[in-house]
Amino acid sequence: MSGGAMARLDDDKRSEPSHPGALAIKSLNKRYRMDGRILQVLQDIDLNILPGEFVSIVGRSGCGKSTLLRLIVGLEADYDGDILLDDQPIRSTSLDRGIVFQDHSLLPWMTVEQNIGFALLTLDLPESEKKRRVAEHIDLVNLSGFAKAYPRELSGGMAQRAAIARALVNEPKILLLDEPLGALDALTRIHLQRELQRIRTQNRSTMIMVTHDVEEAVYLGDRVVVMDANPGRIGRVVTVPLPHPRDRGSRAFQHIRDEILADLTGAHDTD
Amino acid sequence: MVDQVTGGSVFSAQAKTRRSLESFFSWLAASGPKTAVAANAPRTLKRTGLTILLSPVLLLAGWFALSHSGLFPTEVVVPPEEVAATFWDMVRSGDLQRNLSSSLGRLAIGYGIGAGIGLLLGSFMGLSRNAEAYLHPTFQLIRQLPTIALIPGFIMVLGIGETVKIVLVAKATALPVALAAFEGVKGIPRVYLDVADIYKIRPLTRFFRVILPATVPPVLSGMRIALSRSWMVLVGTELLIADSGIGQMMEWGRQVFRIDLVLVGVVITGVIGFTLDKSFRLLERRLVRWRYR
Repeated sequence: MSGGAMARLDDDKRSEPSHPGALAIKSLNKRYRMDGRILQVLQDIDLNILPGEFVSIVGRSGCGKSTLLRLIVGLEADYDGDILLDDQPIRSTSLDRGIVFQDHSLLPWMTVEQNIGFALLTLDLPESEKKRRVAEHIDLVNLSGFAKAYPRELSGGMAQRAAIARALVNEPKILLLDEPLGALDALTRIHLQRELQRIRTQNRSTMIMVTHDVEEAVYLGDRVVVMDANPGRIGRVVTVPLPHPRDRGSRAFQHIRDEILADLTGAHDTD
Repeated sequence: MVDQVTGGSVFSAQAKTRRSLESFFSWLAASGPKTAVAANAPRTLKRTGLTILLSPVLLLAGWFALSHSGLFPTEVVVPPEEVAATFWDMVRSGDLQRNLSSSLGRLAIGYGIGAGIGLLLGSFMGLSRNAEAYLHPTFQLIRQLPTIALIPGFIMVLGIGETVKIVLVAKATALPVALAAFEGVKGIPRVYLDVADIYKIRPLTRFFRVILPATVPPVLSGMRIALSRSWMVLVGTELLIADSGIGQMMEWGRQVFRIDLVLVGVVITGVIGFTLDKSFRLLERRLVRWRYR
C-alpha cells in the first residue's frame, strides 16, 4: 500500500536529506472530564503510518479526528497509550511535526514571508539559509509575488497555501492537515487538492489529513482511515491502490469512494 | 453634561456615537472614483466635495434663524455671529489660549498617568489568574462609579487644586484602558498561541511577536475611548472646581450671564474632543497598518 509513496520518494531529485517519519499509535485513549462526567473521545486507536505515506482520516463530526491530530502534533500531552514518531514518544510540540488548520491561522500582523519565517525563528540556521528556505517554500505553494502581502489581502485559498508553506518550511518529518481545505469553495478546493498532491511529490514528509470530504480523502490518500463516533475509534482502513494523478471519474475511484460513503452513512451510525 | 462614566448602556451609546462618527468620516473621505461608484448605485445620495458642509451649514442656519426669530432674547440664544466675535476677542486677548492650555495640560498629565496605570493593571489582570481573581471584582465595582460622583469625596481629601483634576482625569482614563488591556490579553485567539507553541517560540519572542501585536488593536481602541471620555470628565470637573480652563471659562460666563462665552466653550469643547478622537484614529491606522491595508 505504501509502495507508491516509496517509489515517489525515490524519484525525488532534491538534494536535501530525506527524513519522513514513521508514526506508531498504540492503544491510544483520550478522555475529557466535563462537569464531573468522563467523556471518552478516543478509544483504543491503533495505527501504523509508514515513512512518506499519505493517510486520510474521515469520519463524522465528533469522532475525535481533530483531537487525534492535536495529540499527534503535541498540543495536548494528557492521554493514555503511546504515540511514537520514529520510536520517540510525543509529549509536546516539536519542529519535527507541522500542522495546517482549517482556519489558516496566519498571524495577521505579519506578511506572508514573515509568517513562513516564523516557523524558522527557533531553528538554529544562518539568516541567509532561512531566507532561502522561505523563498523556496513561497515558490512551492505558488505564492511568488505575495511575499510582502498581509493575510487579509489574500483569498482563502492563498492564505491556506501560505499556511501549508509555513508548516513545511522547517521540513518536518510529518505534516498534519486538519481539514485544510474545508473552508474553501469547491473549485479552489479541487485546485488545492491537486496542489497538495504536487507538493507531496516534491516533499518528503509523511502526511496525515483529516477531512469531511470522502472524495478528497480518496483522491490524496494511500490509505483512508474511517473513524466511528462516540467514542471515537477506528472503524476500518481502506487501501487506495490507484496511481497518481487519480481520475475522480474512474470506476475504481468511484467504487472506493462509494464504499467509504456507505460505511459512513451506514446503519451502525445512530443519529 | 459630564459623562456618567461606565454604565454599560452609556458605553454602548458612546460606541454608537463613535461608529456613526466613523461612518461620517468614511463618508467624508469618499471622493473621486468612490463617489462615482456611489452615484451609480441606486438609492444612494449623490455626494460631492461640498456635501460635507451641508449639515454644519444647516445647523448654523438653524441657530441663526432661531436667535433672530424673536422667540428668545438674544442674550439667551446668542446669535452665531456674536459668538464668533467673542471667540476672536478671546483669541486676541489670549484668554482662550490660556484656558485651553491649562485644560490640555491637565488632560495630558492625567491621561498619561491614567493610561500607564490602566495598561499595567489590565495586562497584569489579563496575564495572571491570581491577579484577576483578587482584583477583577473590585475593578468592576469601581468601574460602575461615575467619575463625577467621586468629586465631592476627592475634594475633601485632595482639596480643589490641580491634583484633584489630574486624579479624576487619571481615574476616568485608567479604567477603560485597564478594561481594554485586560480583555485584549484575555481575548487573544487561542490558535495564535497554539501556533507559537507548535513552532517552539521562546517566551520573549512570543511576547513581542504574538501577544503584544495581538493586543495592540483593542488596547488602542480602549485608549482612544478613554481619551474622549477623560476630556469630557475634565471639562465637567472644571465647571465645578477650577480657576482656569475651558470648563471654568464656561462656568464664569454662566455666572456673569455671558452666554456667548458659554457657547464659545461648548464649541471649543466639541471641536477639541472631535480632533482628539480623529487624531487618535489616524495614529491607530498608522500603528496597526496590517489591519487596514
